[in-house]
Amino acid sequence: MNCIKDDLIQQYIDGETKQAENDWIKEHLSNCEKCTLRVEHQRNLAAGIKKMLNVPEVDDDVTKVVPLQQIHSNEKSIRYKKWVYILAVASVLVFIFLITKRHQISEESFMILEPGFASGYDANKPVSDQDLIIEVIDENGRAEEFFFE
Amino acid sequence: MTLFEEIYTENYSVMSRVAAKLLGDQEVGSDVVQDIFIDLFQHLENDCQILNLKGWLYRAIYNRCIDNLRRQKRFKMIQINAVVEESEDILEQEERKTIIQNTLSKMKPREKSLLVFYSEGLSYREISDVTGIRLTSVGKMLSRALKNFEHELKRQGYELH
Repeated sequence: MNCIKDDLIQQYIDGETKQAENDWIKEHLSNCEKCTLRVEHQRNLAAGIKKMLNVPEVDDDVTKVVPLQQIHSNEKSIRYKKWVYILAVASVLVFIFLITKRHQISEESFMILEPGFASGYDANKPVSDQDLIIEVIDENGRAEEFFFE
Repeated sequence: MTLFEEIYTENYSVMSRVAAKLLGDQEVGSDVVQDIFIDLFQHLENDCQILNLKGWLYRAIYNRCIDNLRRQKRFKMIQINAVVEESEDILEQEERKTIIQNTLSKMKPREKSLLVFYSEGLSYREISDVTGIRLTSVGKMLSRALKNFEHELKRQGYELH
């Protein structure tokens, strides 16, 4: 007789099994004491950990809603952090650019740097997963784009 | 009350609690949540459509916290605890809180996130949407995460009551 796998036990106690699986598990449990104990243990474990993670002392101080005005005042510092990140990457790229193109740069040379996110900033993605783009324009108006994945 | 204010008032507490559990630090958690609401505010100002608001907020929390946890690994923080006299109740509460945070901190970020979202009552479908874990793998990973949490708890000399 095949016993119930751990992941199926978990799904069963969370009510995430399909009807056919549910029927098979119930049938199996009526004949298998070992699995009945495993289900019982897993149920207690899940309930105990859920309870532990929701004890008031974990929640107490954090549930107070911070007034909205305070949130708005933080907006500048968030934008500042994003630009520090972009400029740090830009600095590295400029350094590489200067090293590799050193022989072509005269005293009158100038460059324009346009850093940004390739597809705009997306709060639903980690910053590290978002592609950066740095556009470098030289004194002849020639533009080069550097992607930073 | 504007739409944003309504969303903010309804969701701030839950999001702060989730961030604090994931990061093990209430202040950092609060900063993360504030960042997310600022992003949401800008999203709404730009008329960007959000089909599933709850999912959007949880996903934003998850991504920010994972980023933050990876950074924490690179720059390990040194915590200096001030010695203060406190009542026994508070000390007991603080001890329990420390145990939970210590246990969670020993777990992999993804497992920790699974447990926190599970404890918040998210369904397997919602957990899958937020974390990107395949729906069919949620049960397996959750079962392993629960066992690892229990194991880590025992390793520290504590049992689940």
